[in-house]
Order: sequence, then C-alpha cells, then structure tokens
Amino acid sequence: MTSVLHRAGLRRLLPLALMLGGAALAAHARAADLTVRIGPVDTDEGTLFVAVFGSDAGFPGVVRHGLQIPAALRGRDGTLRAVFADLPPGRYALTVFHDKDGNGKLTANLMGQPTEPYAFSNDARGAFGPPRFEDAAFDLPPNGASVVLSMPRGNP
Amino acid sequence: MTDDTRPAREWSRRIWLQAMGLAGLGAGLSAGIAPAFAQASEPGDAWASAFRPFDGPAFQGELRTGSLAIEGRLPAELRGCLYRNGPARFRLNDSRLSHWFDGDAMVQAIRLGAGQASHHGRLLDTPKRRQEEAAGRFLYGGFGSTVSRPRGLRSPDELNPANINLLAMAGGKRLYALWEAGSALDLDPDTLASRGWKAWSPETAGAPFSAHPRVDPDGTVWSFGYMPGTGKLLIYQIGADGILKRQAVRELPQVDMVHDFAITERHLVFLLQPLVFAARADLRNLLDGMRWNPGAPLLACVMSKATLEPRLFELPTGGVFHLGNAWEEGGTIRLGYARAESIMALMQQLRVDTPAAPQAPGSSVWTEVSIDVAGGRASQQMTDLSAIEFPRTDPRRTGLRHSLTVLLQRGPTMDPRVFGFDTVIVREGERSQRHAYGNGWIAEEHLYVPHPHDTREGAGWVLGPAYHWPSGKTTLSVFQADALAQGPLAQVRLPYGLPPGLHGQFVAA
Repeated sequence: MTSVLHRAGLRRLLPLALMLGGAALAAHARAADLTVRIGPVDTDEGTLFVAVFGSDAGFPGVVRHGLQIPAALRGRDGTLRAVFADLPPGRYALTVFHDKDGNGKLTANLMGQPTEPYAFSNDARGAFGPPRFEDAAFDLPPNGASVVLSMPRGNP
Repeated sequence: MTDDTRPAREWSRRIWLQAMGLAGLGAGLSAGIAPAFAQASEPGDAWASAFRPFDGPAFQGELRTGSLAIEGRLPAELRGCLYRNGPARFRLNDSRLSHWFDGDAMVQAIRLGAGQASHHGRLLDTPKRRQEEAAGRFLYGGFGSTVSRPRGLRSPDELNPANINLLAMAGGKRLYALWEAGSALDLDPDTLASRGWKAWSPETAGAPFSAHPRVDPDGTVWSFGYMPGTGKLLIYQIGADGILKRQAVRELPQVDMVHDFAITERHLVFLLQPLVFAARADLRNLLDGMRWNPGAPLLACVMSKATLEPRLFELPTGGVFHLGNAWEEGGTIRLGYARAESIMALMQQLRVDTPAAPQAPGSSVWTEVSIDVAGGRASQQMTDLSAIEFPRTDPRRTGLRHSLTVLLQRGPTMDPRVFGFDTVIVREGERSQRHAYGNGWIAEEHLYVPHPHDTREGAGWVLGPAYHWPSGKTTLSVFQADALAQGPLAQVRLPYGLPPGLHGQFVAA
C-alpha cells in the first residue's frame, strides 16, 4: 500500500554508494559539527551508508554528501557514531541504509520494496509517497547538533 | 515473532479455564465466559454486534472450548480442522477502525472428528498489533479506515494484519495467514501462534502475496502479488514441498486491485478490473486513492503456466472480488465469477462501525466467462443468480472441470437492516439447491469438503458458520453436498458468537 515510497524514493539512494569519506564537505567560516548516532544494527556484516541533505534538492535519492561506515565498528549497544564536520549551520536531513549483502546498494525485492534496514532523520516515514525533506529536516545551529538515526531491527 | 505479548494474563486465564472445566461445565469450558460475550441486539445492530465482544476488555485474545454440543450427527469420515480467518478487533482504547477489511485478524479453528467438535480462536500476533498496543491506539488507516495522526511506514508488513484467508500446505503441517499487500504470516497450525513473515525467496521477501493462492491437484501452489500504482503483477509458483520454483514480474494494465485469480491445467487467469489507484501524500487509506474508470473493459488476462506470458481479452466493464474454479475444454477456458456492478460503492459500504446496517451487497451476479484462447475472444453470460458471493469448489478439482459450486446468497426476505448473507447455494449446471438460514442469521462463507474415500462431488460436504444475532452465538452447519435443500446433517453450537470472517480452508486429518 505504501509501496510507492519504496519504489519511487529510496532506490534512488543508490548513488550514495559512490560517495566516500566524511570530510568531503567544504569548510565554512562558521562551521558546525553534525554528530549522528546510527542503529542499533544487528550484525557486523555489511556497511552503513549515511547521507546528508542541506535542502530538498535531490532528496532523498540524489546524494551529494555521504559516508560509508563498516557495521563491524558498532559499539556494544549496536550503535555507530559518525560526524559530518564543518557544515554550514542550517537545515538538514539525513538518510541511512544498512547494506547487509555488500552489493553497494539498498537491496529491494522484485516489487522494488527495500529488504535492507533504512531510516530517515526525525524517524520520518512515507505513507503514499516518500517522506518529504521537511519531514526529516532538523536545525543545525552554529555550535553543532547530535541526531539519532533509529534503525529497525532485522529487515524492514 | 514469538507469542509472548501477554504471557502472564494468558497463563492465568488458562488456569482459570481449567478450573471452570473441573467445575464440570460439560458443554465447553468457555461456557464459563459466555455471559461476558452474549449479545442480543436489534436488526439494525445485528452486524456490529458480532464484532463488539472482541473490542471489549473481556476478550483477551483467545477463545477455546471443550467438546461442543452437536445437533444431528457429524459424518464419521469428516475429520479435520476448519480454519477461518477474518478481521475481528476494531477498537483499541479510544481509537477505532471503521472498515471491515482493517481489523486485527482472528483465526478460528473448528476441529471435527469422531463425531465431536471443538473451537479454538486466536487473535493473531503481528508487528502491527504489537506496535499499536504499545502506542495504545491504531496507527494505520489500512484499506479503508481513517485514523488520526497515522504513522508512516517503512514496509507494507508493518501494517499487515494477515486477516483475509489461510493457506495450508504439507497436509496441514504448514499454515499461513494471508493478507494481499504483504507477506504471508507463518502460523503454528496447532496453537495458532505466529512464527513470523514467510519469505519464499530473498527476491520476494516482504513482497505482496495474494490472499487467494490456488493449489493444483499435485500440490503446486500458484499465487501472485500486486502493489497499487506500480503496474506490476508478481507471480509465484511454489512446489508441494514448499520450495519456490518460479518468481516473475509482469507489467500489466489494471492491476491496482487484484484480489483473486483462477488456474486451469495449463493457464493462470486474472480478471483485471478498471480500478485506478493514484497516490497522494494526503490519502487517508488505500480506498481513498482508488477511482473507478467508467466504461473501461474488464480485462481477462491469461498466462500460460509454461511461459507466464500474458494475453489480454476484453469483457464488458465490471468489478470483481472472487472467481470460481476455472477449467479448459478444447481451446476454451471456462470460469465463473461474482460480478459486482459497482464495486466502489460496495467497498465503501463494508463497514463495521455504522449502527444501522449498510445497504446489502445485493448487486453481485454469478457470471460465466468463456475465453477462446486461440481465437482471441472472450465473452460472458450473466446467470439468474444474483446477490451472491464467496464461491467455493472441490479442491481436488481445482483447474479441472467441476460440477458443484458453493455460494452464499442474500435471500429476498432478509431483513434490509441486517448486513450480509443468509442463504447457502449449491449450484450444479443450471440448477441450484438452497438452504436459507432464516430470520436472525448471518451466514459466513461455506466451503466444500471432499469425502475422503469417494471421488464423487456429491458425496462430499458443505460446511460453514452462521452468526445468530438475537442470541449472539455462532453455529457451524454441515450439509451433504448433493442434498443441501434437505438441511444440515449436523449443527455444532458454539457457546459464543464469532465475528463474521472472510475465508477459510479445511485441512483433513
């Protein structure tokens, strides 16, 4: 029923796979750190693909700034921490998926519905379409912010 | 998923029921709790009254009886379990679901054997139910209900109530509760406890699996899935061993709501109706996004089992939920279906919350289709059987020529304030036998059960429950298939009412 979300939106997260490194963002005069806690993830296998969006342009499918984090780096509580350093203060949204099978993309079933865990900031969810940028957006003040990307256990 | 939502309460209840049994309430342990469930009601409240006990705090998710009172004599050869599924619970604290298709599932197991009968019913444990009980309210509008502050979804199985039908495999050792927009729910056939979503393959995990799979005489299961707005139909072929043999996606028109299909020896047959789903962010539920495309044809889609390549044939416009059995003779496929003239109106009427009954589902006409596959032509003939639904046939003859079709009908004398059906029909050729339950009764789907040692269709039985609203109790009736009009061979009296369900399957012991 809600599948339009999965079909239309999330599969376009795939370009995320091409993004590497956390320090790719340009430094700004007034720069803030965005700390992200992700998880819990239920296995050491695979990689977490995290993307940050500074506007609704391309959200959520066209990724310009992203991180890859091996799931094996998870802590005792199953969560991982990532930092997007030196971002200009403003409004942001985050996406994440857990590439468990190591194919570098958000795996979907034959109907295009994701079969790997994923999440948006604010725990934003779609209904009859993907969540909007504004649903997932939060403020990053000059002194930085911490955000949780709460992952579903197991598969979605 | 394990069944431990409320272990302490269930445990204490079991002890209590045992104590009641020891106290000698012979006609079923549940006689002790019957007063909490008994519902007398006015005609305008008849339908809603059947669901009300399952919304109240007295219902803790499970009902069970000992040996039940039986009028008449159950056939000695009729051994096994009638499993039925349907939406049962529509209220959670102050929040309510209004559409019949959206309630939390309750599976009923009526076990028959050695002339005895017992009932066990259980509200299914699903992630949806767990999330909603934790939240203290319903979170999803589902098919046709509206909830305030609905929660978005990560996957369709989050709102999958598994509340439409059941699929039994491996001689009843495997049992699945079925929805149609998400996965099949694996159930323990003995306890009805949930074991989790069934993934037939990694590529179909979480994908829609129909509520109406069809099973070849050799045990091969054919099923399909659709996702509104995608233009795709997913086909499953599953061996009798439970192993997926084939999965395929076909792009097709008019696949925004496909509830049922049929199979023949060589083909799959779909009737694709002109319902169009348009997604919008502000939709309250799925039905809210459905529109009828007036005048567009009903499309018969025929796929060869070998290639799954679709061929389309035009039929006059019309809506459909259920098909009967299909078979082929020469190059012609024949099948019947319950043709709904105005399916949008019908779907909008299927509510449980209206104190006065909605208009009767009176417009469905039993309609016979012929598809000349080689000639590229299809035609249909509407029969004189109207106000019918829930066709069932001999499962040994699925895909083969059959002679008996069991149907429900809304009889002309049924109180217009009461929703549903009151008459069972066995149709053979152009002749029909009838059993009218009469005033006060709402009949549920009746199905055909073959005689274990006699291949003649007439030797089998027709059985199904009916809810008697003045007493608030449900009765299971068993008829000889070729002598329906003579009335039931046996009637099993339950000490409480069951919520009128959707579909069931009989698993022979």
